[in-house]
Amino acid sequence: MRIRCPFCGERGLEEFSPKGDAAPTRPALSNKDPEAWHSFVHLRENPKGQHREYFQHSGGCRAWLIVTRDTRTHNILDVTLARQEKR
Amino acid sequence: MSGFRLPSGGQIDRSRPMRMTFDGQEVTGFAGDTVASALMASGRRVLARSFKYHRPRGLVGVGVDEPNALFEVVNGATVDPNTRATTLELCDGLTVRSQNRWPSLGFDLMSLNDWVPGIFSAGFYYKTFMSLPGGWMFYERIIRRAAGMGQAGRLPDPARYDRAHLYCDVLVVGGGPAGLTAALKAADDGRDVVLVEQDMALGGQAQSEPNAAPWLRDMIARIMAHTGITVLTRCTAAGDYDDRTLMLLERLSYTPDKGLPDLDAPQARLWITRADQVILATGAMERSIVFAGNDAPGVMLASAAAGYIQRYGVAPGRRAVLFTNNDSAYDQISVLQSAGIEIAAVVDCRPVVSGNCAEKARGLWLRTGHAVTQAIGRHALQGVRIGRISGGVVQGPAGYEACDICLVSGGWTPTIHLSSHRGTRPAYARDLQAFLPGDMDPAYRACGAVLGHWRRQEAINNALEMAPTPAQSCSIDHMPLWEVPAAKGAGKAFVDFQHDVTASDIRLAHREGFVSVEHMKRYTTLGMAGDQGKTSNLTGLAMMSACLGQDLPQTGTTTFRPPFTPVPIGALAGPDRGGAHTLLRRTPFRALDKAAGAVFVNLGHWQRAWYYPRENEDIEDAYKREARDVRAGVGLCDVSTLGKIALKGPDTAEFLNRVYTNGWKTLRVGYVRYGLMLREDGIVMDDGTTARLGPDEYLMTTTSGGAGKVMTHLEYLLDTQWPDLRVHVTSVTDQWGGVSLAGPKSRELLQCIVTGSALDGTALPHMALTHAEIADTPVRIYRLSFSGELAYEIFVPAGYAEHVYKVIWAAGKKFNITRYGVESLGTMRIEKGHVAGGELDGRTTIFDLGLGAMASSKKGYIGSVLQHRPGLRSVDRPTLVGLMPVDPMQRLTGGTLLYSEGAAVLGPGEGRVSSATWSPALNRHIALGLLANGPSRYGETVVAISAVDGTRIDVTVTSPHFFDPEGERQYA
Ligand SMILES: [Zn+2]
Repeated sequence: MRIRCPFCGERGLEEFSPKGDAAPTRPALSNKDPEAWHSFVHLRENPKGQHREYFQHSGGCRAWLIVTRDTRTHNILDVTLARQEKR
Repeated sequence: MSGFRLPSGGQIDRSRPMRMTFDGQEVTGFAGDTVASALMASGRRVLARSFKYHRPRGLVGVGVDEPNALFEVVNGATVDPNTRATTLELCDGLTVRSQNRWPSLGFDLMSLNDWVPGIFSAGFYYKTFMSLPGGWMFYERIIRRAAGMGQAGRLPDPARYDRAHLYCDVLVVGGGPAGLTAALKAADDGRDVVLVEQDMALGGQAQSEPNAAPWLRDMIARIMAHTGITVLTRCTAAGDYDDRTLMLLERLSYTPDKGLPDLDAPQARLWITRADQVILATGAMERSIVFAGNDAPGVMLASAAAGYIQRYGVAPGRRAVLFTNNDSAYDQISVLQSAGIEIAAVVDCRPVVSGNCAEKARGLWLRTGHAVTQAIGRHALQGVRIGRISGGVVQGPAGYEACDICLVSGGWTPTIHLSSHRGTRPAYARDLQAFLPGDMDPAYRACGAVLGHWRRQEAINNALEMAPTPAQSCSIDHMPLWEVPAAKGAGKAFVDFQHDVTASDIRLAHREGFVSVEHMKRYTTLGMAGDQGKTSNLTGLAMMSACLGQDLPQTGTTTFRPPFTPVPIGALAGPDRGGAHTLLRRTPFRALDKAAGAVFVNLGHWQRAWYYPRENEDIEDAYKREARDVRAGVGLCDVSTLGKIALKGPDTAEFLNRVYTNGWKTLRVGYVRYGLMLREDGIVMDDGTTARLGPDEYLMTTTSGGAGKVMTHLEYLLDTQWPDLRVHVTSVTDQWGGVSLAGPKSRELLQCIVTGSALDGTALPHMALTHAEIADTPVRIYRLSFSGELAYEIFVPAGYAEHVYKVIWAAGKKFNITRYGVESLGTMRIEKGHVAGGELDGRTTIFDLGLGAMASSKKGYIGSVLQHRPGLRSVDRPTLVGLMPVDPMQRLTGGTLLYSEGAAVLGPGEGRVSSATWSPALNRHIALGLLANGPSRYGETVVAISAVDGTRIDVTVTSPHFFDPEGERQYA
């Protein structure tokens, strides 16, 4: 697999570290509901098809990316900077 | 004697004889021979004993599909088992031996397996041994001896393997007619082409074809002269992975030119290849027909016989029966005749053959509508029985024809392995009776025989097309015939030679209710040997379909997985082995420590000074002395391995407040605070200190092992969760050397060498820091203590670290300074009850560690809610305690389990010992541990039991703070 880092260009998968599903939204720090945190930390979709996932360019610029991958083919459809998208 | 060297012909170099040893006997051949062709020329027929029944076996194929002739290659002390004789090139000094026989190939006692009815039939293992007393584990050892492949060597593989990356526009896999044509065409179009061929020579099937030589010579010349084509021969495309990444394995030794492997040069090279376009011109392999006794040495593929003659100038025998269901076998007649082989009969199961075939068989005894029903001969083929066949059923009485070789052609099977490595399902072409590459990624293209274009000119034309299409009809007339049903008592008929799977095994699996091809495969082990069923999969599938009374594609196909042919584990590891396997980090004090006689230990990636033995001291003596000397005077310890992360920005305090469990808003400039970080799920992740260097500038330290994890965690949070926080994090671990100066004399010593800052208790209280100089070098001095003594951590820019260390050491002489390593550092922290790796093991919460006071209730932080999950707050969770053996001289070990006195020794116990040491300060053994209801059990005696050796030690539960619990020494 190859991932096109917005900073570094197309690089081999071995330079990246995955962290999984980018969809869950973190509850506010003031939120004390264990269910909300349980859901954020543990519950994940396992979609067949397009999936947005966090990857860190750990062996490169160390930026965190959101990579859209087709789980059926491993085709990479889109790569964005998490920092930009989450802002 | 059977096979023999022809007086002329072949692509061997008869001026270069080569000698090898086979089972201790010398065998000679020529440069260009394979081990198989040299052995054939020597007249040997039995080259192997089969996997389960130990039946004598000879050569079936001429290339990668060979299922029988697997050898151990012996080179010095190393042994490479299961090496195919048909692809191993003959070279001087080569030593090979047969495998899976005892005591010898000619006389193998294990062949008794073959005479016991029912032994090793499908499901044999499960049925026989699972129910016997003693069970599978006992019988498995005996079975493993009786059924098997070669023995791997027991020494580390001394060979070197290279790894390289290759990028190209077009990667062409296969150097046969289609591949050569496609490569030349792509290169002429200006593309950068790499052509890989697993064989030692280009040409593929054309090398065995009588009239192809002039064309082939011309093509090879043009390819070699083309600047746009890189040719890699002896190079197998072993696997296809995501994003057009292919794994190629190039053999660099065991060639006539290079000879045996030279340990200073790589034995093979693994190419990780990326191509914009991949052209699969992988060709096809001839398949056989199943009949009784079809594994007798001398029964081989018709195309293989032609290959031996054309490529190596070796005749496989003297008198042949040709057995076919298709036209292609007739092409071999002239080749066989050119080698002087007498053709006793041409047996064709088709009732009628074309005039063209009849013409090629003119003057021969052509028996259409017939089949070979049985091969006679155990160690060598003596002859074959022939019977009339119609509708797949043997009709007439059997005739007999004496012969020493029976050459079989059951049609052709495209080599589709690579096309399906990424999960593309093969497509069945009924007309061709074959699976073709399925709907591949658009960057992939197949052409030639792999698409069913069997004949050379067809394959060439196909490769020239813009978008090559599969053959619409079969250009070789054929009649499906997978198996000639064996008469009762005619003996075993083999489908999978390498795994000894017979036709009756498949039918037995069907009778016992296996309907899925995947289950049938596993039950019979069809296609599960090292060759992954190259010659047997399709036949087995067809026979299963016949049992089920359904079409072949309905039964399914089997999944091909990389590698196409075996790849040595060493080649996958490449240079990443030994010291290069993992990163080794050394601190700036390595040279000084080495000179001081330190013994080092690898902890995580770091190589750290473990202890500093003086003359005659062992580790026990040394660490005890070091700890004593520190508490009595002063000691110096390398703490450079602490992870160091610089944080900068106006929101840093808020960020720290979110990642640490305690509060950070009140930390003043010039002070340091201890902090614990939790994982998202509330378990403790790491601990360390963070210093406030300036209003918006902080320096965090982490545990030595946790540095990478914490850094990634902080970056993740800032980039993906809280991008609004204005904080930058930078790893500065390598930029700073650090020492801990600990002991009651540490301040006095420092005062002798530090300028630019006062160090007394008012100017630099516990948990404060100062910027100062030592011998003109700027340093940061933190007053904090891991050992429990009055102590300082001094951080120096890494390049000046040695210099400062030397100054401290020289000044320390008059204080009797000692060096101390990680062993005594650990001892002192256990004496103090500080938690470290043994306690921060990914299972403990802040409450388990007795550090609940650090869990702020005034704010939310990572893990703050989930750490209170009921299971994590249950009162009987193991909690940090001190443990003292009742007999002070009894040594405790980490990992020992704790049980109540008199309780049954069952399950995980009520806790565990996490860290243990001899305590010089208390003059006894002590330990930290986690025990259910720990703090309420001080004074109670529990039993520590080792699950490894059963040792039982009575221990008293105490507070974990063994030494100076009030901290008077560190606040001094
Ligand atoms: Zn990058």
